Amino acid sequence: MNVKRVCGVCRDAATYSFGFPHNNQQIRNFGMHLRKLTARALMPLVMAAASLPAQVTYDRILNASQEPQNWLTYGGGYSSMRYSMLTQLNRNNARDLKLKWVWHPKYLEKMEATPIVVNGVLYTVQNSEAVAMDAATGRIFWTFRYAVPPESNQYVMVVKGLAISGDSLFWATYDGHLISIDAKTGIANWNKVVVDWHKGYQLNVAPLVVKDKVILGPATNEEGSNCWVAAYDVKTGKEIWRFYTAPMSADEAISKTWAGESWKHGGSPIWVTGSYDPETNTTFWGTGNPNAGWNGDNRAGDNLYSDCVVALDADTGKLKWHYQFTPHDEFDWDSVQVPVLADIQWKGQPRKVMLWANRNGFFYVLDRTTGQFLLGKAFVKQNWNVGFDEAGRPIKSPALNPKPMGGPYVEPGTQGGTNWYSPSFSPHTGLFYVSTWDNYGAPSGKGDIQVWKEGGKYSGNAPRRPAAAAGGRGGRGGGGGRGPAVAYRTEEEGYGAVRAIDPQTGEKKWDFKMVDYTESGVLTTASDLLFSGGKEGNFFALDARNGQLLWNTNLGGTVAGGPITYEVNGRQYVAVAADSALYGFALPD
Amino acid sequence: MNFRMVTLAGVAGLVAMAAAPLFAQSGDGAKGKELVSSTGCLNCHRIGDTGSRMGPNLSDIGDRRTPERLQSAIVTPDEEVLPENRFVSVELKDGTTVRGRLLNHDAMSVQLIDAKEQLRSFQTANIRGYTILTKGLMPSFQGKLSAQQISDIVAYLGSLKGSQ
Repeated sequence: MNVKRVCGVCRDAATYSFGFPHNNQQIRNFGMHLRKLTARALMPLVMAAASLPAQVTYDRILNASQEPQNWLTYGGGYSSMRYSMLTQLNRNNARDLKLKWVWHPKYLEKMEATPIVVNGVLYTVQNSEAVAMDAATGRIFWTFRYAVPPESNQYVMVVKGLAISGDSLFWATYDGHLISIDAKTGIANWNKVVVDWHKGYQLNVAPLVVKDKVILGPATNEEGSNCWVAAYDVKTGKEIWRFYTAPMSADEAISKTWAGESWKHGGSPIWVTGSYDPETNTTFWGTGNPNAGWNGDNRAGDNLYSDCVVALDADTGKLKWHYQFTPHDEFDWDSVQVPVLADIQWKGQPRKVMLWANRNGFFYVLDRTTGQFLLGKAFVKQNWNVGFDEAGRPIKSPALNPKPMGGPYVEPGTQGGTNWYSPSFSPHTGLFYVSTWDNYGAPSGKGDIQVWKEGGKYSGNAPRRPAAAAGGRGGRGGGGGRGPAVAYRTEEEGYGAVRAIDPQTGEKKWDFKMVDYTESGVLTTASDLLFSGGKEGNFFALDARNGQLLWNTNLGGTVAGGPITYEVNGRQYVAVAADSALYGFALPD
Repeated sequence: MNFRMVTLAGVAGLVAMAAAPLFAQSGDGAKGKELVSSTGCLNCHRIGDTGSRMGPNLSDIGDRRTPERLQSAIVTPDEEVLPENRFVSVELKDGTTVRGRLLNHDAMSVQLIDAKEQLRSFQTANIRGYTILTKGLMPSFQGKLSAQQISDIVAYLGSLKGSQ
């Protein structure tokens, strides 16, 4: 197996976008090498996988793009581009994709997990079980069960996925455990309580492994428990560092960004996986909304570090810089999107940037080495922001700031212009792709702030109105929810789309429109395929250059996870979750 | 879809609200029933076992509407058309159109019930396009029926409680 020769293609292009081949000839060469690689070597590699001393080293994750047959992290690599070098599936044959297998867990919750794939073995998790399966057939090797207490579930028992280091998988459970699982046997190595769910915390993030640390943080579901990002030793689970995303004492400088003692219950949760830049040894994480989320009257100030991206030293957790997308948020616009790291040409010069389509409806380009604001442009209809100052601070519309009581109409609505759904960046097309909700506005409730009580709701939202009083639809505050039922909705009343954005300008390049909104992640490949789906149940392949529909199948339920692609025995697969099942597709035999 | 077939679409286009059991005091329900039959309402609507399935079913409309709102729906029907009572016009590739009550749609297809009560589904790849109609489904009967006749119809519709 001439891995070095294959990988040499990538290394030749290592100065561009994390080593991805970036011109057609390099991609063709890479594809040829990959076919040789798979024909000659992958099968014995799979067979030998069980004997590998360490399945997934830091170096392998660092160079994930050089083994596109695998999917090693939540975002497909440290840059979280969700971009694969596999090219067996292309614009000409995507129409021939066929279902190869289905896996149904015993739980019925919507599956949001992104699987990881290592040497022909697919690992994923749902509710109270993690599984290892044959990635070519969906047949189970082992099941690890950990009974998550249902009473710990404050929202929906979702898990975003697993992480892997060496031979160990890491599962952050909803009830606050971090569990290391032997990837070969499905037996727990260790099981640590890292947060107490009784105190208003949950874990639903897919961890990120960097070197010898597994990094994650807790969420609080509008319960006012101050959150953090922390790193734990992969061997023992011992906490190495912790960075709080809301103040923990009045002595901290950021506590001055919260009026009075409101910092004590500031929330600022972590619930989507971060990214990592090895060149600067920096890990980036998005933070959620401040509490009480819908009423900021008692927390005047910016409320740091809510609704931010925080850039942390991966060894120490020390803050390098932060950028706050929505200071003093009163609309529930968590900034828990996945930081997408790309090296692009910016105004004629190469620049290391971070691409970010935020729940608040704006697309941002930041310099990821400094946090400098380079671009902020609305990518959906919005009415809260009238511009930015030179430093990139948003200038809020006086109509919504301060937010009036009741239910002022705001665009985008609470669910945002996008949300936690993983976007993709293709170095080949140079476009950023994001699942979008457009023409979407709704009354944003604002009610009295509850007295904070540990483990109780602390939202400041208006009481939910009964369906009859909301005109036949349940709603908050001024009523309305998300508008008419999707079956009868017009485009003017809101729609979902996969939207291609030019990072250079923030301008839309194309849309693939749906009727319903979408919670799907986006996957792109070096052959200019784009895979995504939506709440309508459709899972589809598009031409990443122009959004043309190439293939579609109806999976009958919400596509909410991130599609992935991998290769086993020379065959490229695409796996995607819809509702509570996971599906594998490939070309016919 | 001819004009008469959408005549009372707007009546059932009213929001499903719990109605107070108040009926028009001056209306004659028996006369209202005759008017509903004679003015073509049932070409679109269905009451019990009679009438079309194309428009909204009125069999229990008296449980879901106040007399005031029933009257408003007859006089100014466009003021309140429920999303589930919208119609859709599908333009086929041969230039013809198919109209019906919108049942569902997504990125790939649209579903409706047509004037012949056929459940139909169209792939968007096989049509020129479609338009959702949110207004103009029912004409106003202001000036076409007398105030008494409208009260009679309201009294009849208000008496419809379903099959319980």
